[in-house]
Parts: sequence; structure tokens; C-alpha cells
Amino acid sequence: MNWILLVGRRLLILAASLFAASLLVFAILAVLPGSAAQVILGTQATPESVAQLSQQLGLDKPLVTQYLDWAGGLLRGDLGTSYVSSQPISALLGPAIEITGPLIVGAMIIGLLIAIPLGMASAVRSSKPSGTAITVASQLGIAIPTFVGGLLLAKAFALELHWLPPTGFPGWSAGAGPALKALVLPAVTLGLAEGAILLRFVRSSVLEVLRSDYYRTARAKGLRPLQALARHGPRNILIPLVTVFGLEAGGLIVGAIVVENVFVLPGVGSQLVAEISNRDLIGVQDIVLLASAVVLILNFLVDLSYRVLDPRVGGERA
Amino acid sequence: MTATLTGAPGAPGTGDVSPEAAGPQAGGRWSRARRSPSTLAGGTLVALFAVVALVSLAWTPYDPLAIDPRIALHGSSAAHLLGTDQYGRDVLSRLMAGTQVAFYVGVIAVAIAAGIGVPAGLLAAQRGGVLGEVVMRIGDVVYGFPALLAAITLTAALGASTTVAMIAIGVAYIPVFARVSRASALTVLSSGYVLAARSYGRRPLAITRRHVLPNVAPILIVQASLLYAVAILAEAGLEFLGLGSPPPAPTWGAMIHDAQDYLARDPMFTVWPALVITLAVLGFSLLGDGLREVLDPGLGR
Repeated sequence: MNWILLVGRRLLILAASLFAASLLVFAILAVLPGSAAQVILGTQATPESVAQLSQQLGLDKPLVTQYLDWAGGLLRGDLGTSYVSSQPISALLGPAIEITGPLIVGAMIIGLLIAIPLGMASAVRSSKPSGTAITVASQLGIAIPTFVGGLLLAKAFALELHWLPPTGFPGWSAGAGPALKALVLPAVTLGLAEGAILLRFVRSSVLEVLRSDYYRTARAKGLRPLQALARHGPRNILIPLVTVFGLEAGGLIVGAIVVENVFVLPGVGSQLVAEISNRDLIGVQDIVLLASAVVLILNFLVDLSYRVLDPRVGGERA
Repeated sequence: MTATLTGAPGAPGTGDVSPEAAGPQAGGRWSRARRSPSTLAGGTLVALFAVVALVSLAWTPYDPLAIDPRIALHGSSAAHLLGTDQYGRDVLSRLMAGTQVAFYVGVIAVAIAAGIGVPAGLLAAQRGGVLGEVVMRIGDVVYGFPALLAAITLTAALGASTTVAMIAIGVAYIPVFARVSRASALTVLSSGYVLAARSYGRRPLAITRRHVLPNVAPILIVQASLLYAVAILAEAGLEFLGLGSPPPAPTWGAMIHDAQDYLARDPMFTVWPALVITLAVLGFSLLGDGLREVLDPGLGR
């Protein structure tokens, strides 16, 4: 009963946030100066042809109508038609998501595989050189821009060692092997950057556990450090980690845009950058809203997970 | 625990909140700052970049925009310490000039984030109630939106420009500054000396100026330093994507964008700007982290 109320309230908030995000994205792109028709046709275009294209694209309608057309279409699963290529956006976006999706999931997994063990190690050994070394490495990992990391990895593993392809994507039709191989370096690049950020949070929450009374009691009862940590740690480490994960979802998506650009992957990020250069505003709107929706939904799940992870958290997030 | 990410303690006690305490402890803070390796390393790096930025205003070895195809893509030499790029422009001069851009982006982002966020946070703390709640909820919604994505969207609407992008980064960080200043303002406002000031009739604005701001300031410096790091990284990313300043401008991100075509031939073109970006980001984030430890010992990482 309590559960249903909680989920219901969170769902309402999610729906309201999605609505607000769609309004915001539409407003930024529609209200600000620069007619899309003018940009598409170039500076040489006659006013008549600009007016004609505006009419064709529906840009001469009132803004409210334009918004309702767009948002209504989204609800029916119609993402609109590209201004530039006249193709349905969904046809362009589908194959792109098949690249960006696996890239982000792979990066998340790699990030966690780095952050959890190393973060725990650096906390447990915080006073030893090895602990300090891990902390310094994670500081560096945060400071190195993802595109630099990607270029260095490409240089080492593709251009020098020839283990992996440097750039491009053969398409899933080429078989899972070559396709996955093309995603390894991008996912590692993004995963390393993500792991460095998450590591710090694992470290600080493990440090908190190590300073806690219940940990000291467990040690006093004769448990060895790792045993005590395994017994009492996970819950206390998971909650902050899940929170950061929700907050970092946006960072991962933005990171994917950059990494796709480095490795010339035809994913959602590359499409977004191309659409911005072409002023294909419907496509930009769709992708930005899609990204916001993913972030909002992930944070909705994060909110719910608090209840599962920590029985002390009541109906409202503390 | 979201707190740790932004450095915004949910509400936690800042070590010393009363202005009375701030006076005598200032010396202690300073000596603690000097003993903290992060603060020292970060401060040194930031100071170094500041000096380079100032020097580059008056002097660079060559004109960072001067093209000379005859010496394109030469490696390091006595004449060109870090070599020349694909148009024969001096890499060292371009890196030095790029330092100005790095400071410029930080200034804009921090000015917007703090200029709007701090008053909003202080207002929310002073007034509380519905208004305070509304301000903070708006902040939550904005905070959910990834900063760089906001910058990219605004770039799509207004055309590629560093200033536009940094305004977006600044806006995205308004909630962080609002949250931090509200949290520490609440601590100050609940203290005995504020109650005393109120009881003898000091106006809220005077209380904010005399008691709240001086105590919130140190934490804001920490946030500003961390936001500088974020702004430099974001700007470099946008330049790399070709969504920043238009081409001839000497920016670090654009230099890497150009250099990637020559990665197989000469990786040093990529390495120099990469090293500079990394050191700049590292400098500001170490300084921010270090100062936080010094100013806010309760938060210890």
C-alpha cells in the first residue's frame, strides 16, 4: 500500500519532469533567433523560397501548435521528419541507438569493475603508498579529458599494437565479433573516465564504514578487515554509489557523444553533432529530449532503489 | 550522500561558523593549507597558469595565429620549442594564448553560477517556507540536466560560441551554488549570535551581509575552484567537437582536434595540448579538494 503510493507519487513527478524537459528543449530551440529554413537554404535564398520552406516544415505555425505537433507525435511514437534529409528521425535514430546503447552499458560495467575493487582497496590502504597511488591515479583519470584518453588508447592499441580497429564501425550486420571489437576501445575509454569518478565515491563511503562503530565492533568480535567489510559494507557503500550513478548518467551520455566523435562511431552523439551543424532542429530536439528522458528515468529508478537498499529511508528521500 | 559530489554538505556543520571563530583560526587555516599536499600542488599549478596567461597577454614567442607553410609540422627545435602545427603555427605560442581562454571560461561560468546561485540559496535560507522550497525544487530539476548537454543544445540554437557554451555551463551549476550556500547559511542562521543580532533589531539583509556571507564565502571558493576545472574540461570538449570558437582561435581543445589527424605520424602534437589541459584541470580540482579539506575538516575524504 505504502509502496504503491510511493511509486505513484514518483511516477507523477517523473511525468511532470519529462513534460518540463520537453517544454524547455522546445523553447530553447524554437524561441531563440535564427530561422531553420534560412539556415538550410543559405544566405543566397530569396525571401519567397525561405517562406515556402518554412510553410512546408510547419515553421510558420504558432509556437504552441508546433510544440503540440511535436510532443503529440512523440507520444504516438512519431519523432518527426528530418528537415535536411526528409527521412523519418526514427529511421536515423534506431541504428544509432544500437551503437550508443551498448557503448554506454559497456562503459558502465567497466567503470564499476574499476571503481569498486580499487575504491575499496584505496580506502583500506589509505595510509599506505599503494592507497595513495590509487587516489592519485583516479585524480589523473578525472583530469584527463575523455577525448585525450581515447586518442592515447587508439594510438597504443590500434595504431601501434594493431590489436583493435582505430576508428569506424562495421555495423552489426558484419557480425557480432567485428562490431563488438570496434566498441571495445570506445567503451574502455568511457569506462576508465567513469571509473575514476566513481572510485572516489566508493573510497569515501568505505572510509566512512571503516570509521564507524559497527565496523569497530565487528573487528573487536574477531572478524578480519575484509570479512567485517563484506558483512557490513555493501549496504552502506551501495546507497551513495547508486546516487552518484544516477547523477553520473548525464555525464555518461555526454561522454558518449565525445567518445563517438573520437572513434568515428555513427551513434546518437555523432548524429547530434551532425544535426547541430545542419541545424536539423527536430532531430536535435528529439535527441536532447531522449537523453534527458534517460537521465530522468534512471534517477527515478535510483529514488526507488533507496527503499530497497535502506529500510530507514521513508516515503520521502532523506 | 549526493552531498559529496557537489561538495555541498546536506546541512553539516562547517568547522567554524561564527565570525568570532573565523578571526583567530584564520592563521590555523593558512598553515593547514600550506601543509596540505593537494592545496600546495593545486595552488602551484593554478598560479603557474595564471602567470602564463598574464605573460601571454603581452608576449608569446611567436604570433599564435601566424601561418608559415614552409615549416608546417616540424617537431621540437631550438626556434620552436614544442614544434609547429599543420599550418606552421608555433605550438608553444598557441598553448600560451590558450591559457587566456581557459581563465575566461572559468570566470564566466563561475560568475553566472555564483551570481544567481548564491543570492537564490541565501534567499531560500532566509525566507524558508514555500519560497525556499520552490527555489530548491527548481534547482533539483535543473541539476538533473547534464551541463554539457545544455551547452550543446544552446550551441545548436545560437551557433557555436565559447561564451554561449560557458553561459550554459554556468546556468547548469547555479543549483550547486544555491544548495551549498543555502546549507551553510542555514547553519549560520540558527546560531546564537544571529539570534542575538535579530533580537536587537538587525534587518535580514544586514545579517546576511555581516554574518552569513563571510561564513559562506570559504565554501564558495572551493566550489568556484571545482567549477573552474569543470568549465575548462567542458570547453575543451566542445572545442574538440567543433562546437566552440571558430577555427583560427588558439584553444587547447581545438589544437587536439587538429592534432588527431596526425596521431599516427607525430603523437606529440596531441600530447602537448593534452598535457596542458590535464594539468590545468588537475590544478583547479586539487586546489578545490585541498581547500575543502582545510576549510571543512568535518567532510574529510
